[in-house]
Amino acid sequence: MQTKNFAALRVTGLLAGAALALSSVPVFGAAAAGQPGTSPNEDAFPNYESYIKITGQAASISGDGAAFQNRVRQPENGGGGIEDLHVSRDVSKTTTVTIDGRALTGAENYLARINVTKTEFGSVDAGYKRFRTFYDGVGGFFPLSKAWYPLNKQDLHVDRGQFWAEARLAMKDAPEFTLRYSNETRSGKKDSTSWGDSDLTGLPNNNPPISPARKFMPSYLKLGERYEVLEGTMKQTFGKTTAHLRIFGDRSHKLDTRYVTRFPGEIRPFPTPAATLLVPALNMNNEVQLTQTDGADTKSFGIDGTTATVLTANLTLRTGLSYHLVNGDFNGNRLLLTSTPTATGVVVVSTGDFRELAGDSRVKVYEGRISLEMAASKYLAVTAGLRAEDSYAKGASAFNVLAASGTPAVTVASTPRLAASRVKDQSLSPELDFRYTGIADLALYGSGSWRILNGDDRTTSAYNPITSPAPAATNLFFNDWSENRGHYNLGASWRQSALLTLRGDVFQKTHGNKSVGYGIRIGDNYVLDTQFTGLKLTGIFRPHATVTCTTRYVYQTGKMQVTGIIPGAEKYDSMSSKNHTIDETFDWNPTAQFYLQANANLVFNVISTVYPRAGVTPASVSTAGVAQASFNSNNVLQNSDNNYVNGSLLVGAVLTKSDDLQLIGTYYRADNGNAFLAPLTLPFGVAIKEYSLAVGLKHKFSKKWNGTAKLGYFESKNSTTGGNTNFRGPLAYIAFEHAL
Amino acid sequence: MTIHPRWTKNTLIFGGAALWGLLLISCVMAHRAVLAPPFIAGAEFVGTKECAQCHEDKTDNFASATHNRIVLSNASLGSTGCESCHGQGSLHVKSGGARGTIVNPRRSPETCFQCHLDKRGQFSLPNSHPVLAGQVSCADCHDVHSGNAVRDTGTAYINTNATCTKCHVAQKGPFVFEHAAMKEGCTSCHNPHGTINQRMLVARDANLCLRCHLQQPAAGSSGQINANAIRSAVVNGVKVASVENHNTRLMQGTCWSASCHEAPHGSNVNNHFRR
Repeated sequence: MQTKNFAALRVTGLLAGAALALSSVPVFGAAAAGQPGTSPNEDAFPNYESYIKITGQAASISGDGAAFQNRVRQPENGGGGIEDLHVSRDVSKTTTVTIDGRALTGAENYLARINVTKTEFGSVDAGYKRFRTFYDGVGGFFPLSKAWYPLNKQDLHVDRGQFWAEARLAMKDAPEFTLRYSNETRSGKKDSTSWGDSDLTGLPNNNPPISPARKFMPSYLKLGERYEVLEGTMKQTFGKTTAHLRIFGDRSHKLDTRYVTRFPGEIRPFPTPAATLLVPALNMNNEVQLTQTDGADTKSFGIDGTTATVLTANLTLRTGLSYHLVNGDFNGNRLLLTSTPTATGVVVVSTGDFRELAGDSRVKVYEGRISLEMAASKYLAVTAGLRAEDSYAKGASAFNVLAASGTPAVTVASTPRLAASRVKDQSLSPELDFRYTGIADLALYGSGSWRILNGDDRTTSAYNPITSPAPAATNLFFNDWSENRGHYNLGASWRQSALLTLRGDVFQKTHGNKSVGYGIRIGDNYVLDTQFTGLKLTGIFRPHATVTCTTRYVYQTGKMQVTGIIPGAEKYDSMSSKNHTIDETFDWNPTAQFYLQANANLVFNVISTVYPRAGVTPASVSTAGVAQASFNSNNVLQNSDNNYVNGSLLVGAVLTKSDDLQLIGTYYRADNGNAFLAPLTLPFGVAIKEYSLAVGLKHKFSKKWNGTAKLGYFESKNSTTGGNTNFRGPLAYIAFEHAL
Repeated sequence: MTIHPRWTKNTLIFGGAALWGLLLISCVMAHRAVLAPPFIAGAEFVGTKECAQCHEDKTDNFASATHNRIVLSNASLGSTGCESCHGQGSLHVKSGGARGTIVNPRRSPETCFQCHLDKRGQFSLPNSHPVLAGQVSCADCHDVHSGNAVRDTGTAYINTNATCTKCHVAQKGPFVFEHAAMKEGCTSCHNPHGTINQRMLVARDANLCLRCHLQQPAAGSSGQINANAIRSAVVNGVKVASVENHNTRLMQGTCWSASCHEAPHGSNVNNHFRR
């Protein structure tokens, strides 16, 4: 023990001595972060005005490649190309042409942009950019049967692209005009959290009310979306008033499809087993395939004008008015096919779906705002503002519902449905804000903002216009809707000395939402009250010119209460939440040639609703004569724990006149899994552990050439997915940069 | 190929000693500074007035910005002005705005992480907007040069949802039946900075929905979620026909899983967002 202590002391002493030696070395360049020195920096890497950077990267991953792509946001098979191209040329005394580019295959990350700027005249800017987001397509993992189903060869990724062109006219002493067109697209396939069911859970069948089914089958969405905007803006100063005007029109197109498979490969045997028979797990249920397409096209027009008037040196008035009109059409189909075994074979029927959905919607919003910024004294600034909004939205849809019946001959009946809604509301949002700096080294500030909204919702749920020419009373919902929000904040920033700066905020958000039925819906009632309270504390401590410690603590507690429709039901505590976030950043710059930055984040987050109040369900016998065992209902839904710790380490150092070294490390761990809940629910708690290490070297080959090489290692172990998405392996990156 | 790093005491001692030695030598050999981002090696603070000469569109309205709150009347140079976020400006001013001489937070979030440490942790999570990958920047959602940095209540020009739906157009609607939670805001269910759950959900299980839809225990009625309905649709040994057995449903998964309330943002078909 003594030997160990001595060895530890020796190592500590050695490190401390080395640190002291480093700290005492004369500083040639900048000193500490945020406190740069004035010494020469003649060996600095050149800062190219125009350059091209060619890169390549590769990974050798063992395990789940899709999970790697999703986590690292890079392709498993590597890639390369032009990471950065920047060319800037002055083509005349007043005109500059700038070209930017990027073309990375694999990551499918592209950029092409050209900008021409003429001083005191204007500019033209046009380009296209695109990047890819990878998805891993995982569903849930069921720990009892260790059931795990990957999607069948689905390469999941979504590409976001944008083309834009903008012309700006900004002549001296003249209005400034801008005309801009942009076209954004989003296409590809991504996974969904809406999972399908399976009975292959190892749980006994026919043990009501404990269901053997769990929803953990992966699913995905196919996306095709486009959004175009054409907008023109004008800015002009008239005397003491600067005015902005923006007129825009946009249109969007969406055609997204969701694919969900339930009970894949599970066919209930024929004849249907008796209720009490223990059916072999592999033959438990009917396979159900769902394909739902949602399409929408919208067009909108808007106009927005603002003014800022400097009334006096201490008084500024801001105003704004806007109008926005949206018209939308939508369509869709929902195809839900159930495979049903019959005496003559498996019959595929369509149930629980809709077809030929068609409808439209219209939204109209008027908005106005006014605020006054006042310097009440040299040290006191006050802003008071008010925003008013009037909103009207209506929509209607028509579709057909298919119902299948009969076996083995199936009869399919199609019946129409109509649905509609109309929502209108008016809101007022006052705001008051102050800042006081009359005390040396201290800034005090606070704000309060409110929103008072009153509205009227009229909803007609889907009904059959053939059997009921007018919607029945049970289809009509008339509600007066109101909101009452308050946000409050009080804070201070105090520079105690060069050593210590402290900043703190306390905040509270209270929201009240109330929906009360009227007319034929008298008695309907829904009230939701929420309160979130918390504080944020930040401390910046500089015990030495070379050391900075920044600490941040965020605390938030939340409560919610629901008063519902059930007769006589009182207000009920529906939610309680707590969040503690502790963050630390440590910066150490002992010399101009070395820095170390370490970050750590520790989060405790819990959201509680019914647990532990659900109680125990006693044994009983249903009206159908089925015995139901008692069970602890608290295991159906426990608290959501979202705790985690993560951190990073970044070390940079000058090695030689031509070489810089960088070390990067990351760590992340969440341990919220609880497989013991599986008999009564699907455990969702995230349990994962991962780390990465990388070393990089930047080398200057010549005044016009430099290169960077990085070698890293990433390992991820995911218990939430039963280890099925684990991956690990080395990553390599190389880049060459050349001045143009 | 896989590599399994092994850290032994000797590796640490000899490797560390070699590294220290190299660094000590480099201090003498190389006249070059390196700094942790977002600072600019070799540059000095020049003050906000210098910035305003070219960037008046940013500085003119900064008095109304949330970030202006922490500015001290006797602030030291660089502590709270433009350079506290954009780095020391001397090289930028001297070069007439040359590329690489100033920190652009749109290209690197390190500036924001100096104070918002918790956001660095959240953006490092697997389920987060790709800010660290450079595809999205803090300034895409927060206006740091004027007005409220967080668009919420008050006189902010656009509301919180508009910040989200400018990219997530599909969730904007309009829908025939819009989920009232959309009025409360996207952040009711999602933390845009990142969470440990898929889709940046603040909770991955049914607690997400029950926060607003859990009611007083009672005999129950169709469509209402209350403690009785979670406990069982069987009351005193008799199945209550009007009670939807959410107990069995919740055993299977979340409220928005297959065949249930699949359209949490809004539906054009069902007022309970069932599809």
